Amino acid sequence: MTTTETTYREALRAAIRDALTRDDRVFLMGEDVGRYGGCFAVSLGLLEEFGPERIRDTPLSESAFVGAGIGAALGGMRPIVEIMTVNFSLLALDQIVNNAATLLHMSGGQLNVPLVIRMTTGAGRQLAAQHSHSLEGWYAHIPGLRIVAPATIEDARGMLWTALCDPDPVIIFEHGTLYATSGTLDDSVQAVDIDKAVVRRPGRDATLITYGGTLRISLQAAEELARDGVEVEVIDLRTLRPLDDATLLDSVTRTHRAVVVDEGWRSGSLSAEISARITEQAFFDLEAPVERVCSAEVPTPYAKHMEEAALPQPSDIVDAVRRATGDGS
Amino acid sequence: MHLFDAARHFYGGNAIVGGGLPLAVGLGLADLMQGKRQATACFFGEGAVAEGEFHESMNLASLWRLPVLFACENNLYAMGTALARSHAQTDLALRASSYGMPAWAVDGMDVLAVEEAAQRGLTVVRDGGGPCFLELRTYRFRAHSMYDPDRYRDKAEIEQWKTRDPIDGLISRLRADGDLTDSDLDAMEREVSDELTSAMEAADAGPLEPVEDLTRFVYSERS
Repeated sequence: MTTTETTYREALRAAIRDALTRDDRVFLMGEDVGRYGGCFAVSLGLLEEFGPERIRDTPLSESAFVGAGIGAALGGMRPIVEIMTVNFSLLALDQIVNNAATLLHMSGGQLNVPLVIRMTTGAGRQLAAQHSHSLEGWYAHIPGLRIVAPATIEDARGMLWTALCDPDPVIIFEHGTLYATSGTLDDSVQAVDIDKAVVRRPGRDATLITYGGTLRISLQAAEELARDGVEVEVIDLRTLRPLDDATLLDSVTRTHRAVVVDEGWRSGSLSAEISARITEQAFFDLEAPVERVCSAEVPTPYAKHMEEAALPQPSDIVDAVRRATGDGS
Repeated sequence: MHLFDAARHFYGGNAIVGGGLPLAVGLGLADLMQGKRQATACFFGEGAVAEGEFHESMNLASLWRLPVLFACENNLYAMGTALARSHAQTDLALRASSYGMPAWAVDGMDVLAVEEAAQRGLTVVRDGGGPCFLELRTYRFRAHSMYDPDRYRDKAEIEQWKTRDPIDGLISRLRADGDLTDSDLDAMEREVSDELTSAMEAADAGPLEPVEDLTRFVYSERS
């Protein structure tokens, strides 16, 4: 097995390059994906390699270029549409929710939309209230969409091709703090499943359920708890819609305790949905109420200390696990 | 409202005003990228011209010289909102032309004029001339929907427009030119009426969709 030292950003770029090479129908479009090289440098160099037909810079018209991606998918192409950040995706909500998610159903199965949308999500970079949302939970609310969140370099490399092979729209949420993370990638990875949650760390005392940008801090918290003899199982959801209930319930019925870590706001959130499912399906296996660690319900502050106070921190996760295991103070 | 026919390349009605324009841009983009000499025709009302999606789509279609014919049916009322009460500039072709595409208005009550304009536009579009915009100046005789009490316009205005009924106008012209006899017309009207009647009877007699199908087509069925 050969491996490469790489970054999350480079893994995404390798995935896009691979898709463009394998399938003539694939093209990338979005704001600043070409000349600029991508707002987060994901597509850097691809314009030179594949040309402006397939690496398309768009005007700042989220609704038009997302809708154009839907139309191009209907017309036989396999577009990858990059929306710079989830905040800007709000300007394309009509196309995503009213068209991409509904055309198959409205047309009685005649028109599927094989579209992939990639966007950056999340806070932690001092970008303040309009550039720090974690709204993937909103999208996970919508039937007709598949929502995935690569938290690891392997998933950054492998989820795109699987998403492009999906006959229906897939949205890939890339947490902004992950692009620069580095690690080792097995060179044979070209595609990974986008159906299953995975156990990133086995444990017996509690189940930590998370995804995307908060996987890293959840693993840090698990490490800290292990030093005190508390063995936490950490589950990476990977796919936010449809949720892989089986993997969650299998773990919770073994550990009898669940803590959900979600950078989204608590009210009406993905964490609420997961908590409800566990309570509905494994209530009598629980030894403690389901705990949640979410962002404070405020617009994300700019000042570093204030932003940190608003976002889930490893210590918040440790405290929540201690409450769940009856070890809290 | 949501009628589709994939086999005939009919991509449906859209309940969100302006929502179909970006799709047409994408269909045009797919044709262009695949080297197909095809045109996408996109129909919408003048109400859509107030939507951001209209302006984003016009710009993108023109920027990328996409083969799309934008056909704006200007019937003067977006549901109950009159054009002049909602648009600072009511010359819609003028506004479309600001995006650098050929755009002109045509008497939407004149069937032959509309046909000629559509052919002219489609020739530009198919020959790689980029998108075109047609403003079809027309009128809606009936209310917007069965729930619309039609309080926002004068009965006299409706009656005035009815004198310009496009079907009556075409019939008069064909008759004057000797291209249509009374018996031709009777036969045609009977044929259309029979087709509608049998379609309604087929729909009434058809079975309801089984409730078991409720969750079909949320995602594609995988074999």
